[in-house]
Amino acid sequence: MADGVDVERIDSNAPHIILTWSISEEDERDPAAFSYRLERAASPDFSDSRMLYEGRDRASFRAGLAEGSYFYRVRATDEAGNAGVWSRPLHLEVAYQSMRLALSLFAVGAVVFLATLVLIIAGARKDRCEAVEQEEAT
Amino acid sequence: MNGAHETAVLSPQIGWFLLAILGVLWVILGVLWGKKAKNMDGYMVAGRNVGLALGAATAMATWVTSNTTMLAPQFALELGVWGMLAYSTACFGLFLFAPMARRIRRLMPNGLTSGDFIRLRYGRPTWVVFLAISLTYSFAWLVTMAMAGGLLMNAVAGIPFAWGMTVILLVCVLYTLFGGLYAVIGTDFVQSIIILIGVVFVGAVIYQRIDFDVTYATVVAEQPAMLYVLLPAAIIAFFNNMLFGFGEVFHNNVWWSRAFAMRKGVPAKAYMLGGLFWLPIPIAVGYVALSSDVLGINLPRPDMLGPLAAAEVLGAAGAVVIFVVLFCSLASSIDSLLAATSDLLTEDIYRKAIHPSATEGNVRTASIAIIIGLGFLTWLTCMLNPGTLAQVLFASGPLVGSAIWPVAAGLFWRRSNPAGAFAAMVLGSACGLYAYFTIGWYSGALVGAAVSMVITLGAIVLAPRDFDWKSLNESNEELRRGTIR
Repeated sequence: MADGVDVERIDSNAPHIILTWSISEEDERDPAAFSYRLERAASPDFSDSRMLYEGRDRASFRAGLAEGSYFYRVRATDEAGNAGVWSRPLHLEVAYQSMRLALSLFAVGAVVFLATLVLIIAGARKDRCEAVEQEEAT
Repeated sequence: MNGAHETAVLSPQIGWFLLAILGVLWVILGVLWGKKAKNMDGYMVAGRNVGLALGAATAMATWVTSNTTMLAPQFALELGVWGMLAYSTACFGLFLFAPMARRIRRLMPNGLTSGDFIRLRYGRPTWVVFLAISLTYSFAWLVTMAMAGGLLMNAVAGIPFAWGMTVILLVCVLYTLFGGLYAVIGTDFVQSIIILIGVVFVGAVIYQRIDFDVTYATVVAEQPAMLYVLLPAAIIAFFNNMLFGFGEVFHNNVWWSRAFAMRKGVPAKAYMLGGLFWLPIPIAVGYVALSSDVLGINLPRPDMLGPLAAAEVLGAAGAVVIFVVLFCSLASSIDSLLAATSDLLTEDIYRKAIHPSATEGNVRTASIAIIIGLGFLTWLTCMLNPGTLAQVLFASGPLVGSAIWPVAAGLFWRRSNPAGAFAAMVLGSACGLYAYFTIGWYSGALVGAAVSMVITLGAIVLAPRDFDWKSLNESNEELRRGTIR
């Protein structure tokens, strides 16, 4: 998992993650000959695991994650149906950014948007008047 | 990049066949339309006589980029329903540019580039900063589009990323080279019709195939954050994306060159219509993103959802439709960017700064060299795999966000201050980049725009400067001689 490295904890403030995996250098010559099974669990012993993906892709984007702990593991199976060993688990800890920061930036964005709107609407109105005056003058 | 995804709906042979047909078609059309361009005014601004139908079509087709078809689903995936709505706010950029385009056309009847405006309005130091911002953004946009072409062809037809990206870039370079803005606007018109028909077709099939209740139940169970109203990243991203859209449209020569190219009375209506036609597209593709788990699609990268979902729902026949639609949406934006950016480089750097006495032949030769060089540089950057589409594009967000107020205030307010515009762009970009790296990619444009607005307003209050609007109207003679003010 995560390019085959050992147990790794990742902390994220975003509700999504890209998981990538690889196989041994020897098998890397024909990676498409293998299929992979990706599982997720809420506990490190995978007692409550569920399959997320099974196929030949070697990456998976997981979205819509609520705050909390997630454990992922992956296993390769060759064309003859021989399953390999599970990868070491990846521990993902999702904790969103502070709501105060988010709402502050939202408020700043709203002010900039409204100010820009006023600038352009008022400017456009004045521009129409100037255009009429210009036409009358010519 | 291309190794992670192993399953394609179409065979590479069919993919190459479609690629060859579309490529040859656009090059032939580009050459034919390009014959209308008898001089540089024709080549760069299509004779300044583009009507409403072509004007609205080119605005809509250019805005339906890879960023709409491939980034909008990524937004919905990463930020949920808020993300989908946030992406659709980009149409406000076109709506607000409509009155700006009318004023641009009136004040600068002989204008050629957005750089002309900044140079005449604020002077050379601000012009240099503006060019740096505009060229950086344009290049990032070009790279994302070429990358999207490679990803699309890999996802739908299994064509290796490098080959798909190379071919679409080559086709666009060729027809832009031969036809200039005539070819770009002409092909945009055909491409916009194909895009609209394709999107309606795909949308109708997906509407029939996906059950709303099942989608909702699945998202609640498996991807609950997609429906969170108070998801912090999504709340920040809402206005960030809207302001990014403002910055993209307000400053970029892609939109200014079209304002110069449209005949009097057309620009405002064309941009309003273009925005209206564009609006439903990100909502539709965003909804597909929310349904991705129901469809059982594995996404090796978030930016591959659009083509993979359409191919999954529509099968091989649908994959052909989506291949054609996405090829058109990519080509219509790549050609626009190549033409507008090369105009900026040719006019603002070659003719205004390097060779003021250049003849029309010199300028045309420089323009050809610049389009080819730009295409090559884009290709080289794509080959280095710089990141996902969102990462590459939004890195330029702080820069374009910082240009919103200097451009808009400079266009409408006589007292806008050149030193203020300079500081607004420099400090706005710096603060926006700081936010981009410390808070996240979804905050850079917002912070850049806010800082820039405060500085622009502060400079007007503290040191108002008067400006004569007539000095924006460079005469044809001055333009021909390359006189610099």
